[in-house]
Amino acid sequence: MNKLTKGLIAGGAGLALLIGSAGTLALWNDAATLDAGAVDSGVLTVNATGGTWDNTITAWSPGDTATYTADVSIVAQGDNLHSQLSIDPSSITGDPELLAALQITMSVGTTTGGTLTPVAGEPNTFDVVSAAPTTTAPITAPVTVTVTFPPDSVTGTVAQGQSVQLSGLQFLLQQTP
Amino acid sequence: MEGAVMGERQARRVPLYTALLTASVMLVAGVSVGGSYALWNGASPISETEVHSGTLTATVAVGDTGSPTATSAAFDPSAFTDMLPGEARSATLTVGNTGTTAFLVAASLDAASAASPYLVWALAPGVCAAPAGAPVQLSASPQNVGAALIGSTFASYCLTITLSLDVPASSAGTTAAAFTLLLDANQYWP
Repeated sequence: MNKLTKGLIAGGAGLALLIGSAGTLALWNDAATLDAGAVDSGVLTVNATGGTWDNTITAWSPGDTATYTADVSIVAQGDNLHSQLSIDPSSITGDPELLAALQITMSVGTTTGGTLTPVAGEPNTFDVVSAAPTTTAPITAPVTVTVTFPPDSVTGTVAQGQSVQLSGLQFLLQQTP
Repeated sequence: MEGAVMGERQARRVPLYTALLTASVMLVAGVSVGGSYALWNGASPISETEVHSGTLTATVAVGDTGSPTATSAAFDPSAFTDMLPGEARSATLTVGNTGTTAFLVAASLDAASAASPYLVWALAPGVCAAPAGAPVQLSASPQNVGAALIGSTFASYCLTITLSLDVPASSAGTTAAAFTLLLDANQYWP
């Protein structure tokens, strides 16, 4: 059998399969419903309420500190949901010398509805674990953000008359793998 | 012969499969890394605020009136001339805090003057006519004098130089090298 004949036979077989496949639509058929239930997605949200700064410093100098305390409510619903609460100091902008001198830290008070555990090696980051991960019961805790201008952070006249904007600072809740 | 040709073709294909496999793995890895940013996240703002740093700026002037800008001053040359053994002369100077941050004044002498065996320097808070505190004997090491000076205020100090009674007669008519009174303004931290 030469190559041309082989090619024609192969083409014919393919055509026959197509016809047979299309023909099943007009012949007997049946279906069965698989009741697999529903897929319900979880929830991951964070809200901060009642946030206040403990004092208003008009002109900061080395040694000054201000704290911001807010009640944070986290909903972390998901059977296999892992997430972390943090703040991102890199979102702060301002004059470089003062920016470099300031220290920003976050701490968590008594937690209800779950746990917020500091992550080793990752400052200002907390693992979020809900006590009832299949529900939307919130995890609540007072969270304090402390902004410090350490006394030993500058010398001479470094960082005087400068400003840093904290408007970009947020509590971040991020799902982790 | 035909089998040998097929084997050669397969051998040629192997690097292509390897390359495709490698490319796929890299792509999957890239998707995996990029995908982590697409996981759920939420944010809640922290009440907006701004940190403004203050200033610490010191000025000095001879007399009981402060200067808004000067950072050095010179005493009248006649203030400490023709001194006699046991005599003390005083002159008032005024330090200004033109910044926003409180500071303490720390005074010291240049090393040569501090080593002088027959001259004693002392600085006291307040004008010389009405001292407001005990004098501090000066040396080459800075020492705090008086209370903290808050921003936008001035404070006077009285410098007193005493020529020792036991200064030798051979020193009569000589001139000591010009002295320098160094004033440091160090941030006050209660």
